[in-house]
Amino acid sequence: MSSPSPFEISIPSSELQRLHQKLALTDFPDEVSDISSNWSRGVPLSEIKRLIHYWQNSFDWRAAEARLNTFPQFTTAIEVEGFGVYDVHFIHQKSAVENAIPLMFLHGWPGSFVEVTKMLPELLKGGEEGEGPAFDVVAPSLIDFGFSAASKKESFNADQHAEACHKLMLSLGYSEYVIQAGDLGHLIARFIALKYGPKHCKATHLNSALPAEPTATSHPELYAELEKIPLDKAEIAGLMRTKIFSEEGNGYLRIQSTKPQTIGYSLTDSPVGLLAWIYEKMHGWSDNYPWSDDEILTWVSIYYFSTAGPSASSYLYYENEHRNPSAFAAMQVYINVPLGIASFEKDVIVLPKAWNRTLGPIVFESVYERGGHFAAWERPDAIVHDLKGMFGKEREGYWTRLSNRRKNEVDWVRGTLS
Amino acid sequence: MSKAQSYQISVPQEKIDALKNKLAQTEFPDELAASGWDLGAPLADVKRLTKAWENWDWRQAEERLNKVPQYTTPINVDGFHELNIHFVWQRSEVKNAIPLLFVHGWPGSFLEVVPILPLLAAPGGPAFHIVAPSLPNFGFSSGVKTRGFGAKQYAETCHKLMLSLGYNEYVTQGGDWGFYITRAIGFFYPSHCRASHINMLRAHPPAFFKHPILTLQHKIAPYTQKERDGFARTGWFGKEGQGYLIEQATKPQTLAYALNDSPVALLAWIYEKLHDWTDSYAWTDDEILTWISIYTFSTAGPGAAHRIYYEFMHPGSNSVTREDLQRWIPNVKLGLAYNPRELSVLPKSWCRTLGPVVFESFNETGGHFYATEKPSFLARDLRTMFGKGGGAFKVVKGKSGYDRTPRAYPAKL
Repeated sequence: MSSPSPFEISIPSSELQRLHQKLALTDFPDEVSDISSNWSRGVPLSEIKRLIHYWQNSFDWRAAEARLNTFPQFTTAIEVEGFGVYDVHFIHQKSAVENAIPLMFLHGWPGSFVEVTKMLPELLKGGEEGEGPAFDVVAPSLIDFGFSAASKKESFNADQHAEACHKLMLSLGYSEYVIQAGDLGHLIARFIALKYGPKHCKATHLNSALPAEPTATSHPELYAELEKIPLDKAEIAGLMRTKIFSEEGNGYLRIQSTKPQTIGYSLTDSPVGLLAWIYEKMHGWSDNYPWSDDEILTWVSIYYFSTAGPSASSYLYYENEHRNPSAFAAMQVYINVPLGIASFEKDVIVLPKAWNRTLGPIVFESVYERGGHFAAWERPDAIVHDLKGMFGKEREGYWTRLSNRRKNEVDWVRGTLS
Repeated sequence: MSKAQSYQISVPQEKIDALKNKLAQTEFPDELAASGWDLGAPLADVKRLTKAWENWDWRQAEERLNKVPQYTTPINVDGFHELNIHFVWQRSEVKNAIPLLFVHGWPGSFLEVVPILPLLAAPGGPAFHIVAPSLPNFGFSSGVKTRGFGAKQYAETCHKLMLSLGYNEYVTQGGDWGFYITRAIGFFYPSHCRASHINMLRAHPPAFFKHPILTLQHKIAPYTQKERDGFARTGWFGKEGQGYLIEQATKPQTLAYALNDSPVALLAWIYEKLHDWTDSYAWTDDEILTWISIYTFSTAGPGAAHRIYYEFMHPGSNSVTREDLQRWIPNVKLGLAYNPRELSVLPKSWCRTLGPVVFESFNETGGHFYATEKPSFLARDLRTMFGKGGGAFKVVKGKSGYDRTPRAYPAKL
């Protein structure tokens, strides 16, 4: 097995020039002048104009690139059965602490590997009394995203993504590991747990759980239990948010999962089109997070300059939906790999906590009032807190026991709210 | 007194040059190997059309369109600024010609009426005065600057247009948004809109208390194979074909940035529907590029037209909902055209709940763009429905479609 090659992001000047040529030619639509809720129909014109102006005149991609390159990055060749060999790009940072826990962080859409970077310093630290465990951190760009290769073939599904991510960990010498993920990353984490747990994937911590609703036929005991307990205020509010998402907020999903090629022309040829598509969700899915223009344009640029191109990031949505059963349905089964679930009140889909018990043995649970969909970016403190808590010494060497895990052993620990 | 003024399309040269400049700089995505039409408009098609568009002569298309008589007239819709409405107006020599309003949809335009103009003017059937507007935010009509311009307003615009031309009573033809808008016209102006021919049929299964006979028929007769195929087609559209609609109906502004800024974005967005929604219609490049250019060069800009989806899906409290328009509307005689490759292909028993049906045609072929794909079928429908002996003959007072001609009795010997 070949070892990983060090990698630095270095976008050719010609690409930067082409981008600037396009920005200079941007044609703006108008907008209806009297809407009360500014974001109700999508990104307001004033926001887009401001950002395009900034992108054209002030945003310094080379500085953003340099900032990203302060994190140790690599690429390595990973073979995916039936599909081929893919160059996978990833951050890999080892803790100075011996016996640090191997942790893989999986991003989603419209995020990227960059979402791990706020947590890195804290995750690498630890091991001392009262400090919580330390982690070795691996954060790939999913294939078709960031600086990993393009999948190039139909049917490259969550199964294949899971295989690639698992093999990445093996290639780095981590036969056993844990995962933290949200959004699409959480879907892939579930597939990894299903295929490679608990032997290799020892546990997963997820911040966007999508359990199926327990029914009298699917989960009779749980259903009977839940019938006796009314939903609390927070859970009702969560269901309302979920309803709004399904009625007003999932157009992107419906298009990306049916006609990704058609929308791909927009995302590839029009920087303002790509900006609006992504920024609408960065804004809509976060909890009053004060995105700086630099953050917004860095996130969007990672898509714009991605190896596979911005169109490719929609393919996984298409493949998920056209899998039989769909990837979402397939991962709503009980997977006997320890599960930690963080729920952020301002996430887009917030389902009743008890439903999570259909997903697997829950060993850690937390609920946060502040924070939305991009948990690792908006609340890195919360995710770090959860990971340290879930795998920490306070739990009597839980990690050691996980490594030698006996079946049917389930612990229950309730995390503290903050 | 009609304020209608003659109009000729004349797109400024800078717009044409700017389009070609952008087309030359198009950046294309990749494509998954051998994916065909699975994931949307294929790369080879879009590349070819982009190149063709770059070299295409808009002026010859413009000239052809300008052979059709066009006008503009100001229309005031309650609660909105004055709109300049562009329309095709083909008047018949026959004094008693039936005023016919033809309403286009998305991604169509006024030009969809053009193939039936000569067919309806041919002798041997009722005559029509044909009015085919560009809807506000489409084609060469004004854009609407404020929110809330929905079903009621579109109906009002079209109704006032007909009144302004001296047509107090009229009939309508429409599919796609034309279906919803002509239904809304019948809903709001039943004493003016006397009959409607519709070719995209959205309806609900008959419920016993409302339609006892239809319900019983529906229960007794099993669905035909054609009707089962229709469910499959309707199901396909719901599962695979509705992404565009949901995005346009929820985040039209987000989508507008790409459609307005990138010609290839608009091209792919529309071309995919021209392919998916028709029954193997052999679009020429000229047709495709003309259809899309009407959006590119539209008065309101290509980012505005699809706002109609948002406004219809978010109706104000005093407006009409889509469901209202999919249920029984009294007093407006209906002609229904059933096309197997339409997007909503529902059983007769469902469609007959829409209103008093006086005409039906069941076509073996044809899809969503009825006037484009099957102009002879549509002309046949209208001439039969409104002609002598037709279910809607003389539905407009004093406008039978025929001037008085001497009856051709054999001379008494």
